[in-house]
Amino acid sequence: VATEERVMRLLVEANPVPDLASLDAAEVNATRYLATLDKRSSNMKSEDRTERPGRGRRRPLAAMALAAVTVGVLGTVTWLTSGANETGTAVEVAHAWVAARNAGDIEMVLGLTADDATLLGHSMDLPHRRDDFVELLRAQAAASFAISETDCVVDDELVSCRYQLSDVFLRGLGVALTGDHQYVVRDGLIISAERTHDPEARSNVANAMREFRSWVKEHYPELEAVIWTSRGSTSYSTVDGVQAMQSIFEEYLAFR
Amino acid sequence: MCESLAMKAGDARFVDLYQRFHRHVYGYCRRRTNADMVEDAVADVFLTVWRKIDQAPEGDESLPWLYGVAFRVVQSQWRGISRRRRLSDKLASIGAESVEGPEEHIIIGDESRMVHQALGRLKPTDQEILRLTAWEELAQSDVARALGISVGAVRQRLYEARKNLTHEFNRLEKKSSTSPAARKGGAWWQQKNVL
Repeated sequence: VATEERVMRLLVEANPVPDLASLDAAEVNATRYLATLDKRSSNMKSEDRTERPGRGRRRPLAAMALAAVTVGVLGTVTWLTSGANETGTAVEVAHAWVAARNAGDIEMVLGLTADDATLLGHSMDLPHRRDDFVELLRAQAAASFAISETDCVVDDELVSCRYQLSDVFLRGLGVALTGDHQYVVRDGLIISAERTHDPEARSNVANAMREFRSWVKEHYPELEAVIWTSRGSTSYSTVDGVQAMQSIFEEYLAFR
Repeated sequence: MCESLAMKAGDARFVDLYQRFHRHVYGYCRRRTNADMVEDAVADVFLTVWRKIDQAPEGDESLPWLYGVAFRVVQSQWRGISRRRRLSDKLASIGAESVEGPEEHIIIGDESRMVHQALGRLKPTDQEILRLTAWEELAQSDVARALGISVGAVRQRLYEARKNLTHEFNRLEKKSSTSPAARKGGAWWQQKNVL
């Protein structure tokens, strides 16, 4: 049986790079590197000025994708400039998590979420399985999902914020979800995120979505199961669901 | 003209950090990623540093802060590559590169691989605490700075991580010594490499 001392010695010996001087790292030229970064930064700015396609050629899904990308870029910039995550305090991790969700940056969201995290949304759907969560994140990115949070209060690992949540459909219906969001952050990771919707906002959204579902059932019955993938779901939970909603949503708004 | 004079304070700070610690960051990333991922990881670390240069601490705290940035970049990279299964594959391929002599290679290489495997079975933060301590030779206070946790938490987790690493190592060693090849005489890695 190996002793702790022996295993620690083996760990030291297992260092893949025991001597930094032996590294064949590229020659260090900080000024040239800085110039490259500046150039990359200006390239990004010029990309932001790209003209949008003409109105006649614009398709709903393309517009949605553009909106998602814009939200993504803005969200990423917000995250990068907000100082989130690097220092790793609970509120910074929570803000980075929200910014990544707004940006549709799924890898970042997962990177900030503990493998065994608990995600809860009172009376609304939030998935418990990781695969479902990834699918929901993809769907929300496609639907220009956005959360804004205010009045955050931090108590050690616990972060509590007021939130407002919307997406392209809720905005179209003129409703938004509001409520309280509580996170528990440990070791730089979200281990629990729990939403409690305000009853009135929840009721407004539920009523609006119920009316929409009735209309879908009547006019596009084949799409109902695509959009509402489970019996109790209030809205989409997959990219297919978002695309199905998008394909008929303008017609519904005109009808409404 | 006069580029250096026109350089902003943040740029000067970045250049200073880059020149002093580029090799350290390169070494950090090389210890935790494969050779083909190192350049990207180092570039991502310094890109983040450039954007967050206002938050970079002065003096002795700079390097632990850089390691903290690098930790998150490397973690993010691994998560992006289909997570743990591929990570363990890649970790298995690093570790015994600079060992001299065939016999030493057989023994140290496999013990080294086993300790890497044992390390991979611990929680990510515990792994990082052990690596920062054993490979980057950071003091506990600097490990705490790098990971954004308290010194007390580092002390406690290091204590547990060492115990858990030893436990996992012994489990692996026991498993290998009871394998069919080992029962014929010698540990499995000796059989495997000799044959």
